[in-house]
Amino acid sequence: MKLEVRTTAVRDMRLSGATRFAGGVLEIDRGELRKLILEDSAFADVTLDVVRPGDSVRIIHVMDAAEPRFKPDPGSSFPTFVGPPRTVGEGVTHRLSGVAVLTASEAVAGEPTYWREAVVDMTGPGAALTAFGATTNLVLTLRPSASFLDTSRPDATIENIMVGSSLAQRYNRSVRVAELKTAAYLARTVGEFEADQIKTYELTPAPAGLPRVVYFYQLSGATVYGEPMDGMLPTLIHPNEVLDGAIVNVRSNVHASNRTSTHANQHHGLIEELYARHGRDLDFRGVIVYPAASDDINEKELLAEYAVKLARMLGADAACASYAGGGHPAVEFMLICRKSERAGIRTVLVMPEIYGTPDDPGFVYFVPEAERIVSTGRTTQVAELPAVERVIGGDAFFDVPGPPGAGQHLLYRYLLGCGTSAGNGRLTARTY
Amino acid sequence: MTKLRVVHYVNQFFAGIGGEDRASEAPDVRAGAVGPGQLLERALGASAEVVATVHCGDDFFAEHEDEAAATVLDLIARHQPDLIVAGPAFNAGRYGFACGRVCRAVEETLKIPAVTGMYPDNPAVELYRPSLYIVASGPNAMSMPATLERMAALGLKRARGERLGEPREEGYLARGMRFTEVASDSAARRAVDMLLASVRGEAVLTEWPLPDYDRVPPPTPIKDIRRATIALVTSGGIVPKGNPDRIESTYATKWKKYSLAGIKALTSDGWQSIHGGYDTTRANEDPNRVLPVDVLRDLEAEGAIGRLLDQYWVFVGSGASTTNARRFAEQMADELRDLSVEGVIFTAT
Amino acid sequence: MAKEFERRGIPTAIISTIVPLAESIGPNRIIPGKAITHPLGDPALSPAEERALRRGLVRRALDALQTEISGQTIFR
Repeated sequence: MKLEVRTTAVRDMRLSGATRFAGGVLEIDRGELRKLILEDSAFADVTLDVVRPGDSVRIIHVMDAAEPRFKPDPGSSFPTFVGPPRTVGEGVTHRLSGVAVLTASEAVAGEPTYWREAVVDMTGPGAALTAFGATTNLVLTLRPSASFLDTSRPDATIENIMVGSSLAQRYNRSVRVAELKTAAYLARTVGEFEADQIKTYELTPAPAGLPRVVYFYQLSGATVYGEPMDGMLPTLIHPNEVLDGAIVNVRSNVHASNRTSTHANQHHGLIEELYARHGRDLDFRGVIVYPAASDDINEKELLAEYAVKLARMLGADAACASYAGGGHPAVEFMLICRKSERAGIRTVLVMPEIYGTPDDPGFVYFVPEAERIVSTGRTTQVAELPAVERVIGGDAFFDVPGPPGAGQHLLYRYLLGCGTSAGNGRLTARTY
Repeated sequence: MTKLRVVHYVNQFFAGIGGEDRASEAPDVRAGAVGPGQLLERALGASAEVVATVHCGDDFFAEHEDEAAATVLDLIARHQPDLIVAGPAFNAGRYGFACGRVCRAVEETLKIPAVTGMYPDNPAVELYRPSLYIVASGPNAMSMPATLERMAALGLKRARGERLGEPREEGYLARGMRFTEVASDSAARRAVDMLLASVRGEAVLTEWPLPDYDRVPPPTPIKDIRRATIALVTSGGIVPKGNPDRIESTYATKWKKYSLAGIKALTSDGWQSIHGGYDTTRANEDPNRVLPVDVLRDLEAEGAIGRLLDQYWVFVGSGASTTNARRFAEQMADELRDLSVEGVIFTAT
Repeated sequence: MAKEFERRGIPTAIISTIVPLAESIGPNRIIPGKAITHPLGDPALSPAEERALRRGLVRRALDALQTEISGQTIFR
């Protein structure tokens, strides 16, 4: 499978009367984009904003983010959300660098909000902590239609507090569709222009003797080609597919700091790193995705066994494994570590520290084999963020009191993707 | 520039008074540096001086800890020091506890920085490590010069209010406080580097050390359960309906106790689960599914147990045994003993 | 947490579905629960059957509290 990513650098974006790209500046027809988004009756309205690095802006209620990408025929852009149900990871993909599409919205009926808040700062120390402090962002602030705010509807009841009502799930999916339609629309506009850079992703045969590495990827709140992984056995996926739009975040009720956005999948740190060293330092054998978490201990055991079995089928002797976060997911995550090490597969874990006060070890579960951990930082620590001139995405935080534009002592857990176990960021934690 | 004033605390041996035969010596003070204090003074350099040496017999301190600590504190305070250096105690247990107690008193009461030194296996380390700066020494006085060097360097930094480096750099025993920082490379790069190094057979340092496993021997079983008081404890977040104490499913471990007096069974009207980590629908339909009050009342009525304690404890949080959680659990265990509880049933989700 | 009670000599039995978790941070006497969201219940059963199931689990915990053991034991 060979994927060719053609990147065009976008210096700036502007909302205007026509969509065109010239001199590195992407102008977006505001009316046309609104029409595209409001095709879905889930939305009563959408506000479009362009924000740039350094702007005194705080974006709140962020749900997901994506980088503009488009796959011309016969490829499919963001399959099942935008494009037809085809697999991706090969052929050509047009990509825009320097820009991102973000979605924000208030909560709808039956949508739990205790892990929903996510913040992106465009200025100050918070800007460096998320990927989006460095990109020019088109923010879609979506307003749900009245029916989605109607708590008396039967489909607004919460059957399962972890995922929310079926109404909330549908709304969240609509939001991703709007976001990804926009992302594809932008990339397609620029796509015909000469690429500034072309990068090829191909797992060419590696010289013998290099360590054979697999990546165990625990998914939470994400879909694979639109399919939620709940209740499914682990499965093999090609790293190109992860980079090329196969994995989309669909659940906003996941800690912002370790919510692996669609954007973070498109830029997956561990996959990019393993690719960069493929053929030189290691033989990257593939990616094994699996869900977090089952409620049943027998299922957890089986899932871990099966994931490690897939690794063995790929001839792995080494592995990286990322933890999605959460209490119960920690069990299958650690069981995979234990079984992997016992199968002779040397395993390094990448984990956000989501619990604990500074003196709390913070492990909800661990196995003695978990001796090689890279931390993506402790999310219970506080970041000091400045007051900003403008807040977009909402009027008030879901669960933090006071005006969102004021100076904040905000837990790292609210900063979108700052501690993603995809490994994109530079945060860590140290013991003193 | 005036020199920083340092007071050195040592035991009877290092004060040159005597060995085990003089371990019952009461606290006292001598001017200037004594014995290893002279090495300490050299290590401190020109910017500081040891103005006094306070000493106490290890047995005296162990047998009259409160009184000894108060006297030592008073003797120290009189010299208006900027820094206290205690020991190093190496692997000596009584001396270690004395140094730890003195340092803690100095920090808490006099608000003056203190530094001590101990061998990591010194029994006093477990107690004092989280709250003090303990420089790691060797098991005996052979490591005196090197240890004093590091104690002096660390002490000067603390006295000047300078930022401390990581425990490994500064030579002190990690206190177990974790802080988020920005690394020079992405987590992905660090992970693949760690993996390749490990595969090559190199020793790698984890970024997140595991807590120590500690196995507790199983307590003696209950002799006569039909006369026993049994208590219920849960981590499943069961609280009175309406969550009157506004407990949140937080990260830090928090505890609450609630009355079961007159309660024959939990009901969905009266109780709910506030745990954020699992789907609470089933627990809210029937809270007995997490806290089995109903069947324990049945068993109580039948005489299968003596009685169900008329209060239960609920906790939220990760539940890992941290310093605070451990202290609370110790208090709770004392309470359980005072209430003559002979067995605990703990339910977890 | 339950280990602290044991340290004080109070026999403690844990009813938990995540047995590996109980093994690593829990006490010595472990009784596997029914499911994570309802360790002492089963919505698929009738109320009477559920109560019987719950009683059985609690009885097992009480038995464990009366049983001499040499190390961590799972009572199935």
